[in-house]
Amino acid sequence: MTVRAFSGGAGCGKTYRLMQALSDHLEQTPLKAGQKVLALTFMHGSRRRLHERLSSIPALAYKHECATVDSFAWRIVRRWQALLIQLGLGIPAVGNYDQVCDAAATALQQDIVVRWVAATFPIVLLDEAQDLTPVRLRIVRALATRLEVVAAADEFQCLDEQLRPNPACTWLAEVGNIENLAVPKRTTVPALLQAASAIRSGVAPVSNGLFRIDLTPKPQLAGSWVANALGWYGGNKRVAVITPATGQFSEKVIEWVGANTTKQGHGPFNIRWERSESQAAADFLAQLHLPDIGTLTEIDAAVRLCGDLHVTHHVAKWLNLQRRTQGRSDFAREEIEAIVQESFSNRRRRQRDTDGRFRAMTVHGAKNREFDNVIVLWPAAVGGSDDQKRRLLYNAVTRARSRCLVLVQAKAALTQAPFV
Amino acid sequence: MRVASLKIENFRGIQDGVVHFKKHPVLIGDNNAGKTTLIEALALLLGRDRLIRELTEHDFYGSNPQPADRIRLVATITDFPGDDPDQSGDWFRDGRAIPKWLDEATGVVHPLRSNAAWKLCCQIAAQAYFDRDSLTVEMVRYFHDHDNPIDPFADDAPVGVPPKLIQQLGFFLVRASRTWDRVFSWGSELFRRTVYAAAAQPSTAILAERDRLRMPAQPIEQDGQISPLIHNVNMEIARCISNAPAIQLRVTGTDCRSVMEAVSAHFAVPGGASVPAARQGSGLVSLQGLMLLLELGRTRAAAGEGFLMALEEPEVHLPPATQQQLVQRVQALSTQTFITTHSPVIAAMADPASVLVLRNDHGQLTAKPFLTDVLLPDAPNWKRKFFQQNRVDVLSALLHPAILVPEGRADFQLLKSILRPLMLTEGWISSLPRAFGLEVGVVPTDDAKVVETHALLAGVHQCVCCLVDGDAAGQGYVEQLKATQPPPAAIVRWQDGAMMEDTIGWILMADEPAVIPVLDQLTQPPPQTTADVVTWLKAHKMDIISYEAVADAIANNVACRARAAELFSGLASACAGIVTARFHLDDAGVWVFQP
Repeated sequence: MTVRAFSGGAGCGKTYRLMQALSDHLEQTPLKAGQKVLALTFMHGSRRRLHERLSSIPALAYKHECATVDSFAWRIVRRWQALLIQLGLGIPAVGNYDQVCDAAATALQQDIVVRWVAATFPIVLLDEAQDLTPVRLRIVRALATRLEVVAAADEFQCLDEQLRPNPACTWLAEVGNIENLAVPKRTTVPALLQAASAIRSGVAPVSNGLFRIDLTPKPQLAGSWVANALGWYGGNKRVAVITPATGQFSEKVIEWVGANTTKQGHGPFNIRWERSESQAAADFLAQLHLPDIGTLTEIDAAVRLCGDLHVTHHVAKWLNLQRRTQGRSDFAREEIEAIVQESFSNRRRRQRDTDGRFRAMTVHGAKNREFDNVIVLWPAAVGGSDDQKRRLLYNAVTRARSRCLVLVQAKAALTQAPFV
Repeated sequence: MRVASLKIENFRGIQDGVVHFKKHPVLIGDNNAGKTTLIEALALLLGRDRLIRELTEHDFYGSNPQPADRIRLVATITDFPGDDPDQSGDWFRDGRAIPKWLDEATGVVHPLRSNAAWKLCCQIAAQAYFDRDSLTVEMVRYFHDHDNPIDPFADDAPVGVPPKLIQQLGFFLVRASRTWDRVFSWGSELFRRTVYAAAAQPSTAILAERDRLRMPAQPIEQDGQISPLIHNVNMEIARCISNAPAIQLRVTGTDCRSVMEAVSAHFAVPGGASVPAARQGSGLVSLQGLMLLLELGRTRAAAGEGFLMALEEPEVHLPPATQQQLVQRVQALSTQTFITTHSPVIAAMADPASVLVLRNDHGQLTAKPFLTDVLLPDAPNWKRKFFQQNRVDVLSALLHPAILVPEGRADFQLLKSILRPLMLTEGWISSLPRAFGLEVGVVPTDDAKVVETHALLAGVHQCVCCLVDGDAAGQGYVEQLKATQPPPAAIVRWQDGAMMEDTIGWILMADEPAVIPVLDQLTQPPPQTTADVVTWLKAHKMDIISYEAVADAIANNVACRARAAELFSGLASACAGIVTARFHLDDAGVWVFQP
C-alpha cells in the first residue's frame, strides 16, 4: 500500500494538507459499508482536535475513529490475546504503554491481524509522526502493509532526545513520497515568521515588534510583564503562557499575576495551569487518606473529603459496580489509587481546549495547538543540548498567531542557545 | 454458517458442559438431561431479541446466584465461505469478531491457522448476572475473543454482536410448547416475516377486499329488520346537528390493516366444508405452521441467507409417518437443524453419528454421539444389527435412566414379551416398588455380545447394567465385564446353573395348578408341569408365539403377577444398587437372583 507524507515547519498547514489528501483519496476510493478512517495521534488533546477536523469533512460523514497510538495498541492487544499467547508473549498491563505497543506491533506483524484492521480501516491518518518511538513506528509500519498511510511530520518538532535521528522521518523518507510544505499559514506576522525561521536554523532570533525577548530575573518583574501583556493585548484573545520546564520561576510568576495588579493597573489575572493527568492525580492522592484495606463506606467518605466531584462520582460508581457485580465489600488502597488515576485520565480525554482564556502549560502540553498570543517563560534551568533548547523555543514560539513575548530569567541564558 | 459447538456454564441444570454439533444433530436423553436447556442456550446466543426469554434466578445453576456468579455461554460458528475472513468482512474485522481456526477433529479453536483442514470460525458469547439491587437479570451478547476470563458487567467492555449478524444467522426455534392456531394470520410475526421475506404481500387482494367492505353489495344497515331502527336514530341525530352523518355498519375498520388482522385461516378438504383453524385438530394446524416456517427457510436459502432451525419434539401432534417426512423436509431446507426428541422413531431416522445422547451428571453435561465413527463395511454382524435393525430398540432404551444388557437376544425378547401384557394390566405397574419399565430400558443383544454391547453403551450412558446366565459362560462374561473401564453399574446374574427361562418357571410356580392348564396350546401334548414349559422355552429360543402365550398366562394370574412384580422391581432395584429379597449382592460384587 502507499505511504504519503507531508513535512514542513510549524504552521505550514501539514494537517490541512493531510485532510485534503484524505478527501482526495476518498473521492477516488470511497469507503465501503462499515469502513472508517483511522486517525492516530499521541495525546488526547490532539486526538480531540483531529476528531473535530475530521468531523468537518462532509465526504467522511463521521465515518472516522480517532485514537491515540497507545489506545489503538491496547485494543489490538486486548482482542488478540489468544494470538499473543500462542506467539509466546505475555499480556502486558493496561497502563504499561511501551509493552502494550510492543505486543500490538508483534500481533500486527501477522498478516491476518493487519487484514482484520484494514477490513474496517482501509486508510490511516497519522499526525505528528515525528513523535513515533521505534516500537510505535513498528505498529505503523505493520499497518502500512495493508492500509493506505497519510502522515504529517516535522523532524524539528520532535522533543524527545532519544529519537535522534528520527526513526519515523527516516522511514517516511525511505518509503514515502514526501511533500515539503514551506509556506507558513498560521501567521502572517513577519516578526514571528522571522523568529521561527531563525530559531530553526540555529541563528539568534531578533526581538522586534510583535516578537519580543526580555530579561526578567525576578518573578515579580516577569509577572508584571505578563499582566501588562494580558491587560493590553489579552482582550478576548486566547493566550497561553508556555514554559519549557515547570519550576519555582514559572509557578511564582503565575502566582504573582493571580494576586497582584501592575502599576499600569492590569490584573490580577487568573491563569489556570494545565497539568498533566499524572501530576493532577498525584496532587489529589497526596491529600487523600485511605486505609490499607477499607470498606466501601470508608473509602467513599475519604474520597468525598477531597472535594472533587468528578473523582468522587467516578470512585463511587466503581465501588458500587464492584459490590453489585462481584459482591465485594473491602478494597485495597492500591486499587482505589488506580481508579483515581483513571478518573483523571478520563477527564483529560474529555477536556476541551476552549476551557478558560488564559492558560499556563509546558511546551510538551502546547504541542500541536495554536493560540492568539503566546508568552514564553524561559527559566534559568532548561536542560538538554543546544539543539534541544532550540526545539523547545521553536515549539513554543510557533504556537502564536499574532504576538509572542519571551521572558528570560537568567541573563546568562541570553548569551546561549537558543538566543544566539 | 452453522454452529460447531456450544459451551454452557451455570445455565439452568447445567453447571458445565460442551456439545459439538454436526449439520443435523438429533438430541436425545432422559428427562432433565438438558435438551431444552441446550436449545434455550442457543436461543440466548443466536436468537433475535424477540426470541430471548427474560431470565430469572432460576436460569442460574442452583437458582440462587451470588453477585459474582455468571451464566456463560459460548457458541463456535463455522462454515464461512471459502474459510476466508475477507469474504465475510461483516463478521471478521476491527469492531467485529476475531477470526479463529477450528480443528473439528479435536474441537480445539486455534488463534492461527497452521493446518489447512482447520476451519475459519467465529465465537459468540453471552453472559448474564443477577443484580441483587434491581432484582433483574442482565445479559450481554458479545464476540468471544479469547478464553481468558472477562467480566462484561464490571471492568471489561467486550464488542457486542450487532443485530444484523444475528439476522444473517437466521436462528429459528419451535419450542415444544407451541401454539400454532394464530400462525396463518397477520397477527403472527412468523407469518408476517415469511410474507415479507418472500415478497408475497397479497396487496391486490387485500385492497380489493377493503374496497368491497367499504361498499358492500348488501349493506347491513339497509337490512329490512334493522333499517327502521337505524333510520330513527339518524332522524334523531339530524334534529340535533345540521349535516349529521348517517350511520353505516361495516365489517372491520375498512383499512388494509384491519382487513389483514381480520384474516383467519380456514382449512378445506375436497367436498367438505371450510373449517377455521382454531376448530381443526392440532395435528393439521401444527403441520401447517411448521410448513410455513419451512417456507421462510426456503426463501432465506434462496437469498443465500442462513436458516438454523431448532425444533423441539417434532413428534408432538403428528403421526409417525408425518414425523419422518417433516424431519426430512426440515433438514433438507435448513443450513443446520437441532432436533430434540423423546421418540426413538425420530432418533432412529437420523444418521447414528448425528444422534447425540445427552447426559447430565450432577450438573456436568456430556453429549456423546450414538455412533462415534461411521460403520465400516466389515463391521461384524452384531454391531450392524445394534446400529441398524435394532436402532429403535437401542435408542428407546437409551432414553431410560438405566439400561439393561441381557446376555442374549432371546432374553431381551422374553423380558419384553412378559413385560408388555403386565404393563397393560390395570394397577400392576403401581404395585412395583420400582417401576421397571420406566426406569430400565432393555437393549437387544446379538450373538451373546454382552461385553461388547456394554462397551458401546457405556460411552453414552452413565448407568449400563448387564444380565448374564448362571452357567460357566455367564461367569466368564462377569469376569470380562468387571475388567472393563468403566465397569457396568451393576452386573446381574441368574442363580447357579439357571437362565432366564428358569426364572419364568419360578414365576409360573406361584400358581402352577391354575396356570399350566391355561398353556394347553403351547405344546402337543399339552405341558403337565412347569418343568415342561421351561424345557420347551429353552428348546425354542425366540419363539415369539410361545413367549406371548406364557406372558398372557402370567398376566392373567394374580399370584404370577405378584411374582413377576417381585422379579421386575428387584431387577430395577439391583440396577439402582438397592438390595431386595430377590437379588443379593455376592462377595464378587454380582447381583444374584434368589428364587
